[in-house]
Amino acid sequence: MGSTTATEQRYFEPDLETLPRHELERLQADALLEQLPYVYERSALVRETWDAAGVHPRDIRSMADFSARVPCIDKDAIRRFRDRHGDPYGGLLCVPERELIAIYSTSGTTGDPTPTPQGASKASPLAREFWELGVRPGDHMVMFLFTFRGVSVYRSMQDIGAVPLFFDHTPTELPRLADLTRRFGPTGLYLLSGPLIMAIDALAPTMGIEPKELFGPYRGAVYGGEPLGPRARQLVDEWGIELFMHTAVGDAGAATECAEHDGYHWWEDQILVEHVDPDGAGAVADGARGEMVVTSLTDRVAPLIRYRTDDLVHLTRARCGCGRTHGRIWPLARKTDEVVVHGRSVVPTDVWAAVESVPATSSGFFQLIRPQRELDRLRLRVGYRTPLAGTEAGVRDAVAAAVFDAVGLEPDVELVPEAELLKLGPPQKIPRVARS
Amino acid sequence: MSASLLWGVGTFATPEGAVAFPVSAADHEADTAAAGRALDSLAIAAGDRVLVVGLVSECAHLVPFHEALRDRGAILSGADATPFDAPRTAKLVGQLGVRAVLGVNAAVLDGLESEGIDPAAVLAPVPIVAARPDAVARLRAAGLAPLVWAHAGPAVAVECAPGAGAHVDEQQWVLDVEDGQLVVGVRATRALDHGPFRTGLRASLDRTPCACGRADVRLVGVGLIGMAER
Repeated sequence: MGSTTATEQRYFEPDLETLPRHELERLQADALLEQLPYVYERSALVRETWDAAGVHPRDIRSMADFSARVPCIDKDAIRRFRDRHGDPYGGLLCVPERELIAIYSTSGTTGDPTPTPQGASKASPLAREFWELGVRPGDHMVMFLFTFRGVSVYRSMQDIGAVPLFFDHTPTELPRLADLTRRFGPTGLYLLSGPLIMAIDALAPTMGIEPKELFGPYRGAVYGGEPLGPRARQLVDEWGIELFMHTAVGDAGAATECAEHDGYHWWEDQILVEHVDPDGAGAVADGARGEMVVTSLTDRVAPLIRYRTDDLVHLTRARCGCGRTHGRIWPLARKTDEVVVHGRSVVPTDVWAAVESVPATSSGFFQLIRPQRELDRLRLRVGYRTPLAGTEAGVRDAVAAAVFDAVGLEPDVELVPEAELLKLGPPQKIPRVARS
Repeated sequence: MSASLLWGVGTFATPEGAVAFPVSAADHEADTAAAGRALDSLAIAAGDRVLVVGLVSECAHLVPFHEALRDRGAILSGADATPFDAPRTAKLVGQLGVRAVLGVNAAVLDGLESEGIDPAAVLAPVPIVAARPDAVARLRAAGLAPLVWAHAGPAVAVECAPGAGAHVDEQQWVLDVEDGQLVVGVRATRALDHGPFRTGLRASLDRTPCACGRADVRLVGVGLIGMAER
């Protein structure tokens, strides 16, 4: 934390969070040029990939060299290396295993969970975010997490001086959340998800819980997992809780909204983000749609170097209204989520509000069917609340009409009970795209 | 206790419902030391890969074990004690070649079976398997020899060898059996009220010397009250 630790200060690490851009870029360049030879010497995957491309760290003397010459890796390359060499770390590990304290794993949303080795870092990667929520020393903060994947979340709370309250990410925890909220008055919550918000809406009345009262003490809550649908947004607005949207930056870190709610900040002193043509490697302009490519600047255990995330984003490095100089992204979709029907691009967020506009499907649980990218027909699998209000044909027609109004394409709609979709995914999200 | 002295607030189950489990920094330090003694009795050492199966709501119980593993140079991995996340347990056991799986429960066994995965086949290669009371009998019936890992209210009981009984840190906790039910109270000065708390577990207490050398009381015949042995 910076030199001033006053509770009323605006930023957790003011010097770093507001570092002038030219200094931030110099810091990045210095960190990158130190990181590259370190990783090349130690990471078997990076060395193999660079050697195949005829690139050596001595060739990389600037950011421009890096962007022009360094080959990218992606999740498939890591999995292939893992399978080929029987290396659970996919060739990324840069330290002797005896220096690890933990091996967690990714969610596995897009395939097998990928092991993520951890060293004995003292970093508090989410402290800046929790401070921005309004959490201060002496406060309590709810860790309402899908799964335990390391110390970073509760340690970040503790390093601010806040006390974590531990909860499982399930609606069955609502009575306990209400009880501890009354007793401890927590000021922050990490994190809410769409399915949980819909479950609170459905179950709170039966539990004697009034959501507006429940969330009264909270200054803010982090939202993550999958895009926030319009219906869930409307509910949290009614409950009076300020959401700070949060997304992964590849597997290298996270990006989170500030109180301006104008894009998700990633921390440029820790992660280098490039914004490239999804079908190529050239940079695209700030504000245009591009694929996020990330490089870890500070991770010395298993750093990712030019890792293609598959995530389509808008991006800006312009100074934010909050005063921070670090860049911001706006997540759009995963590259593999897009379908093109008669030349028209459709991603899940394009049809989300339409699905939610029909009362029987207002939970917004649906999947885009994507056997391949180019399709003759738009196909959707849509979950309905049981018992079904109305006839199947009536609901199907209503969804199809709403989707047509939204994207100009008449879809084929398959209706299923929403429980069928919920059981396909982890608690915080369902797969929004299915092959069949 | 003021918030600044608290490490965190977890929870534990009683037949009467969930109880808030505040843990001070000093409590956490004592629990980490106790976890270290439990790991000693399992002979878990530097370099061992250990999979701890648990829930976020169990952090007050489990993080002391995470930290005791780190302190001895063992390598921690984690999976959720839920049916949905059960395949992660199978994947990590296979990928990492773990030496111990601690805290596996019936929900994980159910989740594996629902995916068509035989839990016994997953766990058979693991030298040390410590299972919750709802999973012990199922694993034994499948031919394994699991140790007992039980969350007895706020305390964690860990068996040192099959059938020897699950040790509880008596520097922190007072144990008794009332009407066949294990009851746990606070012996030390802790952030948690003194209790006692009913645990929903049946067990008897064994205070005879243990072959592992630990002097703590042991829980023998641990099971869930109302749950028949399966």
